[in-house]
Amino acid sequence: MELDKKALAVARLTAAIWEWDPRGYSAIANSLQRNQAIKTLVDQAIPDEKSKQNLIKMILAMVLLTSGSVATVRNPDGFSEKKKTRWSHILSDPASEFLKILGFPTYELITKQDYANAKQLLPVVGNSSILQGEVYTVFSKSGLPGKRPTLASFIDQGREKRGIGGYEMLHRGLSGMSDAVVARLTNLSKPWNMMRGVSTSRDEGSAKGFAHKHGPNHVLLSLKNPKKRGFNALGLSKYGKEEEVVLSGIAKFDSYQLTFYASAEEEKGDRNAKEYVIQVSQSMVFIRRGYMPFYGEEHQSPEKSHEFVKKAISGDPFKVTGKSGLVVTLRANPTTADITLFGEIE
Amino acid sequence: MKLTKSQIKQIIKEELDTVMREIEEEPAEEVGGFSDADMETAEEELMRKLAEPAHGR
Repeated sequence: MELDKKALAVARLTAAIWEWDPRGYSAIANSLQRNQAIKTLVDQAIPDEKSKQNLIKMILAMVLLTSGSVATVRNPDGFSEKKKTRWSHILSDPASEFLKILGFPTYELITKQDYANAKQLLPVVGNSSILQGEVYTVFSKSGLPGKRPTLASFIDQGREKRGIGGYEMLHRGLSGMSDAVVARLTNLSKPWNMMRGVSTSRDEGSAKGFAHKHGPNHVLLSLKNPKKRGFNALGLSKYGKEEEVVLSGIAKFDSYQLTFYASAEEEKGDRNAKEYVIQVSQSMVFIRRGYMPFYGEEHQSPEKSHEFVKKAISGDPFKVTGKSGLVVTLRANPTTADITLFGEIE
Repeated sequence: MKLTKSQIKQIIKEELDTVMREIEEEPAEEVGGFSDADMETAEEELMRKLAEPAHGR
């Protein structure tokens, strides 16, 4: 499926316009100004019906991933005719306004075909890449910089020009994962196929929040995005605070920092027993007993680190000889891990 | 044959050395850890979770 770059440029600009504060007299006045700016942009940049339809499909695909039934996006054959709902029920206000400008009837029921379209389109829009200059040209040609100088200034002065050219770093937080998943995460040899389109955030803080949302075993993925891929859902998503970017591609992670906790079998029942803190990276294992360093191994291979984690975090006992020569049998305390992975999206 | 004191000391030392060497060379207690099958299941769990929006299903 070929990507309509003009439609993508309008989508990115619209996401930016929804973040613009026109400083009007009221929230309604601000909303009106944003609507007028988007209408001008749409009329000038994509007057043809085909581009409008392409843009509508992109927005609908994003909406189904962020607030529709994700299971049905992945498998449209699981669509339930009995649980049909209307677009208006799952749309954010900005997305609803945008779709109305594009001429889409938001009162319509969501169909199985809509989910099939989303499944087909998400890998394409999530992997999309468009130069900041190309988007800015669309913006300039629409006449908006002259008509709305405060909007132009807002886009010009923002970090990464409000993301109209995409974002260099994207993040994803995961929580409530098993210890086995944490061990899997330390296998850096295997690329991740994220081609189906996944939800990420431009805001590390927001992703960290999700990493800590549901109990222990906190996972944070930080991805370099050199080609600035992704579809900026941002305020168009019903969950605008997540500052979401739909991303698809092949992810390769090259480093991590993992911390988890363990107890020594030999210290069971001892009132002076100390917790052991185990820190692992792709090249190092470091163990502290309380605050005191107990064991350290540097410059080891990523494979060796992974094999260590597979054993150590499983809950099975493992022996460690401390730097003093003392041998202890450690057993990981379940689901106490905190891991941050660093990688890149192809 | 009666052993001298130094011979007894030597025998004990050798015996001790042997025992110590055996202890040192004793293979570490076999630990379980996660199997390859566990890793495959974990991969599925990970990809399933990743496919969901950050806020959950």
